[in-house]
Amino acid sequence: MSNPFLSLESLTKKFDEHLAVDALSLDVEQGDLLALLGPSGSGKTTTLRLLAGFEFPDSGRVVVEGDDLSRRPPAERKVGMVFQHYALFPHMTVAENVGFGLADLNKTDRDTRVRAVLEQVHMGELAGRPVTALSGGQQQRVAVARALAPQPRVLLLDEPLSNLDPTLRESTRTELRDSLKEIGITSVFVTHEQEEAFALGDQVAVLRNGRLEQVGPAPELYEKPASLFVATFVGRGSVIKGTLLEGDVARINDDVSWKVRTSGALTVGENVNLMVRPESIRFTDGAGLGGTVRHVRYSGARAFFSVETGAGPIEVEASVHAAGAGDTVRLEVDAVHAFPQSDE
Amino acid sequence: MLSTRFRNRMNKRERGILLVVALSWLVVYPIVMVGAESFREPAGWTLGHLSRFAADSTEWTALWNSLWISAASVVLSAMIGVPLAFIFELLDFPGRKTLGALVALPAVLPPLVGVIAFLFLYGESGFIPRVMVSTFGLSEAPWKLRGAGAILLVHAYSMSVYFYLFTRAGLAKVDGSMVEAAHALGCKGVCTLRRVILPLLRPQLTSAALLVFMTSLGSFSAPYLFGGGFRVMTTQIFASKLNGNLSAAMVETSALAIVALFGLFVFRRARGERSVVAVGKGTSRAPIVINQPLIKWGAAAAGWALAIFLLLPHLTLITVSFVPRGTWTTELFPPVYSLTNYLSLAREAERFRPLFNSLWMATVSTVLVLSIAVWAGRAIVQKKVVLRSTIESLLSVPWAVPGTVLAIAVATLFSVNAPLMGRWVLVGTVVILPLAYVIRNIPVAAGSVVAGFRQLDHSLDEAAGSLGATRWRTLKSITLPLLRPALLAGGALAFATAVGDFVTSIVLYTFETRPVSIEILSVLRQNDVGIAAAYGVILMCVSAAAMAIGTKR
Repeated sequence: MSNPFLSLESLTKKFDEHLAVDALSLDVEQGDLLALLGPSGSGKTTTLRLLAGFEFPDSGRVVVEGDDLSRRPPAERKVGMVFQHYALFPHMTVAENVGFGLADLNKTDRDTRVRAVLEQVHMGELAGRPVTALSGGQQQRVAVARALAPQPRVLLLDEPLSNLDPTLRESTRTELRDSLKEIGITSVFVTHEQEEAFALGDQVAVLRNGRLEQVGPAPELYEKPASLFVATFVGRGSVIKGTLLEGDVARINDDVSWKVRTSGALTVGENVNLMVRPESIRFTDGAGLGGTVRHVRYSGARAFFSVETGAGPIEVEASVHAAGAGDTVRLEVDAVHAFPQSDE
Repeated sequence: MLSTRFRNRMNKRERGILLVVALSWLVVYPIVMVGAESFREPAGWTLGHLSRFAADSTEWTALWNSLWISAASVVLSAMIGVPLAFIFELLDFPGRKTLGALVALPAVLPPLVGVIAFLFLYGESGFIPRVMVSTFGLSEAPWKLRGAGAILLVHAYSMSVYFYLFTRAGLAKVDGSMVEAAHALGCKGVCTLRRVILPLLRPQLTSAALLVFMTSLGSFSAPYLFGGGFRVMTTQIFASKLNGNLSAAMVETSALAIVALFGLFVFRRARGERSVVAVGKGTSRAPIVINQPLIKWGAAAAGWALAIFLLLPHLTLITVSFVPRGTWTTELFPPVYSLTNYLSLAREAERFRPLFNSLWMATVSTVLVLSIAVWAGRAIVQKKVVLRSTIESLLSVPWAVPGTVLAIAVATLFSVNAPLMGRWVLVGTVVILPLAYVIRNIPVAAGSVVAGFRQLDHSLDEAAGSLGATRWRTLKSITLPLLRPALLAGGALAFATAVGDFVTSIVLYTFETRPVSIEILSVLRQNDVGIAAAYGVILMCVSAAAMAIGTKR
């Protein structure tokens, strides 16, 4: 098996007594986009800064193409960075910003490269404009162009879409992924939004308290979450208590038992957390877990029903007219994930 | 091998300690030396100087005079500056904008130049007394510009501008909706002023009061020229030094430094820690347009009269600068005007020398003080070194020390050759005055530059680093260009203060390095008022140009 293009090897970083990144290991193949996903304080931005060289690890290594960058300053890493607020130099034009990292080229080559990169992000016509006169979306493109201009080995993006309004975010997301794929650059980006991570990343790494919870393609994370944290952080889900029986069956109460997918080492008779996604549970006229609809949240053609059951509240996604508030209903599931209760 | 984290920490610690040591050497060590000298005699330690000071009533009188003159200057300046700020900020009348700018003109007069302008205008043979004598047939000038009254007049004229500018800035930030809210709650007129506006202006008013108090306490030009027998502490120190009574000068210097620090403590407490920043969108209140013709034109006339009053010293200075020596004796107005004085300054090497000295010393000291400010700003804001609050306190120390105290302290420290103790003989060399200017201007330069660093987005530096820029390229291409407004503002203030300095120069100058202010005093003694005025006009123009550059964005 060939060596990965980018490797984080047992990366650890402490700020005073706070462990920001804890023995983090990750591999990224050449040309892949890795999304670092996690809540605030999960260590994703620190990981990005360790990759960029703005922080140095206490232990562990950052390796690109077999080259250990761990102790090198940012200027010597050939790693491009797109900052959350873009960090465009306000006293320079678009072209001057993009040309900043090309100081070792002569003027002709620099101008040619600047033009080419700006064309790539569809900003060629605005080369002479001050960056302060650009819209948010245009600034984002200039920031990407500036980072790409010196032809870095790896591109890092810190919440690259967070400063855009929601309508612009979706189209920019597609454009950004297409551009990066076309260039074929290996990229790592940070986000706390699952939708963004899934849309942009070939691989998604979920971080929690500085540790890696799970890494894999989006469908794998959604369908086969390795922990309760990943299961609930990635997508929506209700968590109820149950007991594991023989043959991957969990008992909810005396009358109801559901077939479950298990994660981690579980033993028969163990109390478990059961996670069920709203689209994996449905109303039934037959046998099932009984409950009362407390609230209905409409979302166009579908609605989310909050059902109070003996095992706890469960959210159900169904057609708008499937039930109403106050109705007594029964629930049947298609897929349930079981996790150890120690996993909370 | 040391881990990088450890190396970073060492860097932060080393950088912080280095800066603390350097700043302590510049701003604290000289003052400590003065304090120590107050208890020293050739044979060893003594309390003799202190007991002689305590037993001498003239010392206590001078100290008391310094205190009450400073307090009275605060009251008088506030009485002029605050109402003016309210009038110009809240009322709209013809010429408001132009007049509003003219009111700040006293700020461009260096202290000694302001004093000589007053001398030419209100002194016994000045314009106004001549007009009074001629108009009312008096046998002599109706007043003598001497003593406490004269000092207070100069202080009120030159320092009311602080209250005016600070109050206007504060009023501009007062949220109009707060005043409307007070009105809606039944509190109008004086009630709104007392319970809403003045409490919101408290930080600006106490800052202005502190500035006036400290400036008055350190004031030397006005007491020196107009004081006569009325001694304040700064003139007392200078007299002791001139008479060779160095031990008395040391104790007096220490006493004034203690009073200054006490004043700083009292005013800082008065300012309070509570934030009075408006919560909300902060829409400023539009000025009230006066429609009543009589009041409107009355306000405009009063405004212009005031502007002329404030401009009279400048106009007097300019007028006198064109009067050749010996041509104006008993006439009401000078009979002859020419460019002789200016030509003399340009053509005669000895006349030109002070101008050259002032300009080069101010330039060098400004470059140096800005370098210190950038060093400190980078260390505090970007490098986040250890001892940051200590560094910030050290940067503001010279501000709390009157100029005379600082000059005596620098003279004391640098009059002995003891390199291991951080002391060299610099007194009498060309280095001493620029060095004193640097120390004196650290607070203004650092205040502006550190604030500038705080407004910089740190990720810009990181962005430059990630694009391959070295530390120096980042500083040159990103940090310094973005700091330009802060560097210009701090540099302009430092330059204007240095180029017009009198109080430190009179203690530390040599004939070779004499600046313009010292030369003005010298030519005044020779009764060459035209030359003195020409020097004054040049200093005024240089200060105004520096201020204009400093406020350019």
